Amino acid sequence: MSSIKMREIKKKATRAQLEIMGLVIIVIIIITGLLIFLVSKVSSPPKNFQKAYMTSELATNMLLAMTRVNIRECPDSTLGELITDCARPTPSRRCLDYTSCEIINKTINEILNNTLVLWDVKFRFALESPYRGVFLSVTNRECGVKTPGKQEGFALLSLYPLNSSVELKLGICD
Amino acid sequence: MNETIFVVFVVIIIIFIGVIIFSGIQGESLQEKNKALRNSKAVEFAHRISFWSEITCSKEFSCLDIAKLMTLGDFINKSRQQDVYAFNYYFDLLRNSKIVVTPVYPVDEFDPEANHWVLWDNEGIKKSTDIVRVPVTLYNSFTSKSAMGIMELQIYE
Repeated sequence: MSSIKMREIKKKATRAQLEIMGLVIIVIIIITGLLIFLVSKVSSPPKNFQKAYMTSELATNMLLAMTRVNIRECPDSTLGELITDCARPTPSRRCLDYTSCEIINKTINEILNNTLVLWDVKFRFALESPYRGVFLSVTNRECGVKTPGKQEGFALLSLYPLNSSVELKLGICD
Repeated sequence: MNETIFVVFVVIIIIFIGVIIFSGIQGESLQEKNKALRNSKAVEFAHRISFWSEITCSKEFSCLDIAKLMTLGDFINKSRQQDVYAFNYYFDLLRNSKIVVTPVYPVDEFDPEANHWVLWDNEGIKKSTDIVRVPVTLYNSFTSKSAMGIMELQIYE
């Protein structure tokens, strides 16, 4: 009687060991799978270079085209010329009773509304000169100065005869 | 014995599910990479077009002459209707795509849709890229004034 009981106990113990072994194998396989997944994700290049190229091209071309445009209120002046006037210590040009700073503010907002805002692009546009600091800044959909993954295009316009230049920056966060 | 078979069975199922999920993720990322690659090629393509001597202005780069743009658009349209060599020449370059140039500043407030130029319109079956937009300067040689425009390019399969 006691030998039959002992055999049953042994049989149960062997079965339990097998079950534990099975569970251990499953856990090991799951952990290995997770590790492979994590390693493949971490080692893959973090940046999408094609997209970065496209956005930086868009930003640079945007600035280039903007600065060459003739202004509606001031047909003989380009936006670039009015930006350089506004960036000086004492802006002097006026068109239809507006100062150069008022006109560039209005024009840049109109251009950005007809393009990047319309396309729902996250961006930050800024004009900066050594005399007036950041004198115009337009932001759409919370694209900050230090937002990660931002691609920036920039252009420089000379403030001749002053020995400095005004910087146009367009950062695209998408 | 039964337990062992059960454990092996469960393990095989887990491995099988893992392989399916992994291949699904890899497939999606591969498709995204392909699309991004096609889009960047479309940007290059759009840039190449913006340097064509048929449409660029003589004084600046990345600038299109409105008069040339209108002339080339009309010329391509006519050659398409008459099915002459010129259409085949541009078809070799532009294939199944649509290229439209739209002014964004200054815009005619009374009729904003009036001034847009369709340079090429040969839509294919399925869109293979997103719409690629390239900001350009639009030069009017009659008034010697520059405007800003967007060249939109869509490539089809």
